[in-house]
Amino acid sequence: MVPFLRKVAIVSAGMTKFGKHDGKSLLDLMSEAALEALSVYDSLDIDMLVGATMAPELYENSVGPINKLAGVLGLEGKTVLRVENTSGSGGAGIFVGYLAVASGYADKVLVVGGEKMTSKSTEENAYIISGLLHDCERSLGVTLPSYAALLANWYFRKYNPPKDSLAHVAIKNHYHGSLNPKAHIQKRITLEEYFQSKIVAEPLRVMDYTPISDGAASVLLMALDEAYSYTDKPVVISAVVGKTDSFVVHERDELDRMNGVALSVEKALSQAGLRREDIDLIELHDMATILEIVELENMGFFKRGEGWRGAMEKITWLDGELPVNTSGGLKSKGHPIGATGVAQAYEVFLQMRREAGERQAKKNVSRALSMSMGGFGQNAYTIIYEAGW
Amino acid sequence: MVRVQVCRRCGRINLPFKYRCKCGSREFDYIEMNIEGTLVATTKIFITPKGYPSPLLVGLVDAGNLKLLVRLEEEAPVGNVIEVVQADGGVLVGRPKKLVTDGS
Repeated sequence: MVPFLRKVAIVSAGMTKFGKHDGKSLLDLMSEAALEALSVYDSLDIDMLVGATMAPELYENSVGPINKLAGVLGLEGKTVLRVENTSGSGGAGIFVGYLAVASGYADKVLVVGGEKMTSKSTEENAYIISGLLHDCERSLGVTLPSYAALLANWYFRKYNPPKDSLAHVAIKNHYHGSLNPKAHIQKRITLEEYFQSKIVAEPLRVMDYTPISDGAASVLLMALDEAYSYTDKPVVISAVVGKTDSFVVHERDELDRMNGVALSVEKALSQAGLRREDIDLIELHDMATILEIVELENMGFFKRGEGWRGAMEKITWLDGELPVNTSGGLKSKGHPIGATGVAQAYEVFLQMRREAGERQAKKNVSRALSMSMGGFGQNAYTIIYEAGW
Repeated sequence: MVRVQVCRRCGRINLPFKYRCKCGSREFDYIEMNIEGTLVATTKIFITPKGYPSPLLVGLVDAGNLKLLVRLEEEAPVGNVIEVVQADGGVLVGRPKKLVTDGS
């Protein structure tokens, strides 16, 4: 805990089902998630709204999305702003909300993240998302999925993990997602189905990647002292730290070094005064299966070259020693870009309070970590949570 | 030949160019360089963005003092020597040179 800051807690959270929401706009989805978090306290007067979304300009030809959200939520005379960090927008949104409460600027802040993506085709989505790369990368025809493929090619050559190690990440996350009623794809997959799925970019297949989803999520943040008036079980946010890596991926020392991820986790743990062994559960940014493995290594939870052991040796499964992506992760739950970082906090909130239903982790979750990142780790935000009861 | 930016203070070679080097310097020289390096990772992309051919070959080339992501003119194994050239519009293209045996 940074000494000059107030303690901050999540008192409620909301999330739409992730998936294809025909007929619903980004505004509808973000409102639905916002109302779920607010509904616990009917006439609650919040001070501030932080909205996280990447590209409604391109998806819906809509600008000023969070001012619109404030309008439909009846928020007048409040502080309202949008935060954007591509796929890490949600984590960055929580960072801003956290600082506002911690600094004393605001007492009650609602953070909402969302994206409406399925109204565009896969091809149009690839085009929009490739817009977050540097022109020198984009002009090659490279997309984020191709970077994941390059990384997998590199990783397999360097560390020689079992051939089905990526499949086991997908199988685990789909198993978790099958138990999450709000996941986009609530379906278990087999090793055979994994290997039958089409190659997107060698060696990665359709089953290695997150689907394209619509959805939104929210968290209501308060100063911890006040939070106890609203819930017996506030989830304390002990640290939120954002760190960048090189923007152009080829400038990195090695392809599997994600320095932004590593630094944000290191500093967040040190701010919270915790060690890795203290963490009971992790939600991370598995835009592709290989990223779950490499992120766990860069976060320091596995040695380099050994992150694949997590899923294969059942360590990261729901009933394992260190459950990872109990929500189903981006892989199965879906990845409506601006929503993701907030949806991770929603999952941690439920898991800590033991309200996660069928996907409740077996072990007691009293400290957790989530990490969401912009692009290919260009800008990573790590959040540390502790049970406030 | 490829046009690169060299930092006058730390000597780092930047491609793409920066306005401010990682070391903080804003003083650069611009030179044409022959770039040859080793292919360290590669992928064949089947689902490509609109307007790009499928499949598309790309690779990461390590030239020692500079790494570059390039479009490969033809398939080559990791470990192969690649000559990097700049095509129209500045797109970096990798030309596999003599084929070497894949080390694995």
